[in-house]
Amino acid sequence: MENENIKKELREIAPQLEKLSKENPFSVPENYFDAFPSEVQEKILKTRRKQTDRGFYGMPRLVFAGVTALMLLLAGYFFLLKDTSQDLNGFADEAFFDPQLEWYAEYQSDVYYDILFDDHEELEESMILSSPEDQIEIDYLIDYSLYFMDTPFD
Amino acid sequence: MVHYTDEQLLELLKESDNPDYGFNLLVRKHQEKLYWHIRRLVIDHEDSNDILQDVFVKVWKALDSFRGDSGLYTWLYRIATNEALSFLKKKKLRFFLPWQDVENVLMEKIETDSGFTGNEIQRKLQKAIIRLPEKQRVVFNLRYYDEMKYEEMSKVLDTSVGALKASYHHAVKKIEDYVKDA
Repeated sequence: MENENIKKELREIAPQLEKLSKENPFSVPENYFDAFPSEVQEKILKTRRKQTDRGFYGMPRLVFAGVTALMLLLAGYFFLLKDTSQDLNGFADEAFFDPQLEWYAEYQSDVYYDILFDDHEELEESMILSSPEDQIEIDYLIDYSLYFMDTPFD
Repeated sequence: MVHYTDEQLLELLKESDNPDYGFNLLVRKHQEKLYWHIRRLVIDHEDSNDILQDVFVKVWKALDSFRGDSGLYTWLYRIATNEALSFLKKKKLRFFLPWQDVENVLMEKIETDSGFTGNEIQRKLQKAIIRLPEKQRVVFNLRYYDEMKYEEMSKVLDTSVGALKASYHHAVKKIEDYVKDA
């Protein structure tokens, strides 16, 4: 029925074309259509294998490679951004941790200037409770400051 | 071989313990029509073979999501048409060819292909079809060779019946003129 409709339609639009033979002018290799379904099945099997051929953690290999590269990039990024001042502070603490130096750091700003400008007797009294080692240091500083007090400032 | 309807094939694919058997039947039933549809568009046998394989792999992958609204037959034609046209577009892009040159490549194939067994008038007819704009070419082939109803074609190409009739009319006129003049 549809075939008749098509013929009629073609006759109305282009009568010369309707007269032409509709033979298929192309050919295929022998037994092509017999073998084709097996070729398709084989291709589908390959596709299935590819789908099941997953990499680590169930991820396809390409995705796994991508995730690994991303993680390495992020690690590198955070490593470069890391605040190095903390390390330097740690280094400073370690390098300068010395009881003698600590003592100076603690006392030099107040005791030392007290020694220079305050009443020495009062200062000596306030330091009576210090340890003998401390006392030696204090005596040294007092002598040292007395020496400078004798030397006039210019 | 038992002949199944498309509905029976779909049932077989969904409910059978061996879906590969059902799919094999589907391929056997539709391979020839789809092959010739693709071959008329891309001309070369090897290209047609590759495209047809890709079509069935796509069908196999998408079968679960096929809802059956349009019918298996029109769905298969839709995939085959898209694959064949994508192939031609890729060919054009790969070699930086304008459409005119893709036409020339296909025309040359008609002249030199050992798989072309038609006479001189059929050769002219094929050349005239190749010279048509892409959409008119597809419409002409589906109507003239596959004898497809406009309503089915409308589902395959997602175009209104009126537009398809107009396209076919223009295509037939152009082909007739070319064949007369050549």
